[in-house]
Amino acid sequence: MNIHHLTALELGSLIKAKQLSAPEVARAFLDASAADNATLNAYTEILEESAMAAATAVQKRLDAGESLSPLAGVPMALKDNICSTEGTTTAASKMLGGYRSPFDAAAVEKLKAAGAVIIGKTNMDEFAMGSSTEKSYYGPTRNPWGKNRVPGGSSGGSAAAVAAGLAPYALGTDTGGSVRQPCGFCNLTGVKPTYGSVSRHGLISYASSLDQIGPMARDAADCAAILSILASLAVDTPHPPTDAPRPPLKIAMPTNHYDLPGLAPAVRAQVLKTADTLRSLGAEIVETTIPLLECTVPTYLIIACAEASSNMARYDGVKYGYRALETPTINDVFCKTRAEGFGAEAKRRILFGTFVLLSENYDTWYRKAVQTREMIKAAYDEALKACDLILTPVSPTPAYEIGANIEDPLEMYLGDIYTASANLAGLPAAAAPCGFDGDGMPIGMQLIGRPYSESLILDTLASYQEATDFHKKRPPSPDSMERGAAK
Amino acid sequence: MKIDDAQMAKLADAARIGLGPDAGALARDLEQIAAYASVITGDDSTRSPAQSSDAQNLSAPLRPDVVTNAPNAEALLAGAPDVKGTYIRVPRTVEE
Repeated sequence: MNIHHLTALELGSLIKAKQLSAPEVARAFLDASAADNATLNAYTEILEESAMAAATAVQKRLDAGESLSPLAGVPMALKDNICSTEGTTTAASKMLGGYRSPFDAAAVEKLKAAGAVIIGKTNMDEFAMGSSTEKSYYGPTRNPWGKNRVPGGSSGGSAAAVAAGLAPYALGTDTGGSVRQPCGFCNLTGVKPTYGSVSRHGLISYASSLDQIGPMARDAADCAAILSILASLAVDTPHPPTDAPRPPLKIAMPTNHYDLPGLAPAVRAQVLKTADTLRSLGAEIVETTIPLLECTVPTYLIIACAEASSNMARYDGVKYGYRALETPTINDVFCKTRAEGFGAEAKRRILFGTFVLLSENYDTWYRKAVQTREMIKAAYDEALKACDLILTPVSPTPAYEIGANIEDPLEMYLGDIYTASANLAGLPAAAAPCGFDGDGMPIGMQLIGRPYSESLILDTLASYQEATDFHKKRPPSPDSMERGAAK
Repeated sequence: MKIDDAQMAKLADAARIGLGPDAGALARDLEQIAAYASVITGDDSTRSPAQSSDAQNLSAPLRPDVVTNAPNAEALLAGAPDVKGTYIRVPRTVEE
């Protein structure tokens, strides 16, 4: 039995049955993380001491007969923009280098109470601004499926860690697709919950009306178990299919989403096959059109950057974080600190956000974006009146090569075209594996539902994962990661 | 659309970011992003409904109005770049 290939629930079950101990499991994942992180750069920090202490403490609770969650004793990785009292919380930025949070995020508190063992903080695009985890102050993360490929972003470190078997599950954050797209690139299942259902207390803000914390794991059952701890609502563990007739599910495929010029043929083909599989499981697949697709990314950019320009104002070198040297005046403290502390992408987004909020631009840009957001939301609400779920690709292409889009920010932003709408509309959305391209790189599909329909989404994915085995494939071992190869 | 040096300086001042030699490249990036995003700024009254007053009829459970992270001056000062006693030290803000 290779415990690195087990799901979080499988591990939790073995720990509960005393076939494995929490410290033993933590040790195994810590050792793997330490061995492989030089290649993958999935972690900004591995928390050896605190993880072993936590594992020992959880084992004592289990030995004392305390009733804990099914994930008690299971190690997890935490994206480095989620505050934890263990280790540092840097948001992968020089601006917060060495910062130690005085409190745990609400999500972290809940997971710790449930017996989670945090083994490390994962790499990400700086302040969650990116889609490839190339924009980290700590260097890029590599995709376990192909070491010359990006793992996606901004939760790329979390995705790489889980995909490589360095952690059974991880938390990521999703503002425009940053949980779902890395899951698609790394053959994982992940959820962006309904906006507001998971507390953002302790999540370093990027765009406050869009940010959500979400689970990234091997399958839908794990995601449901994690969400049931995190979310302020009940999320049932998905049930496997039975012989009893299931209520017919109506799943819509917006045809205009599948006609995009930039959509890779392999991605289109695999998502269409996904529809066939869901149809064979009893779902009714219907075609629809959801308008304003071409407005999704521009609207997201304007709103996210506007909110970021406000949220990033707190990094001024005064109360915490980086402060530039040789700053004789207070204005020098602000301007030089922010010039040196932020990376290029963060500066780009702050400046664009500032641009759209200038008094002469506010109505033309920001107000128009807010109105367009309402229209996008209305379009999805209308579509979801006629169906239960919407099926789309997660991203137009599989994972691309590191450096391919680094000089072209616009090319990067276009990758969010299928995911950003769920953030704009506040809807729950999940990504799951649905196949591989000719190079063996994973392809992901996305299901979007009505507010608080996470159970339905995960139930559907669980049924799909009972009928397929894409999610069970593992990347090549770290010492042979020349190209992806589905096993 | 073009973002000239004066506009760039205005943005940098508003954002409190010193630009230096980055200014030109950032201006070109912003022009490119603005050009792309301008697809929604077109004057099309049929696509500009009145803003709704409420995005969603959410019924998310609320937590009690209880402060859960009590003030901890020592922990907060531990993260400050420069302190003096219980104060955060910064350059003089009022010129003599």
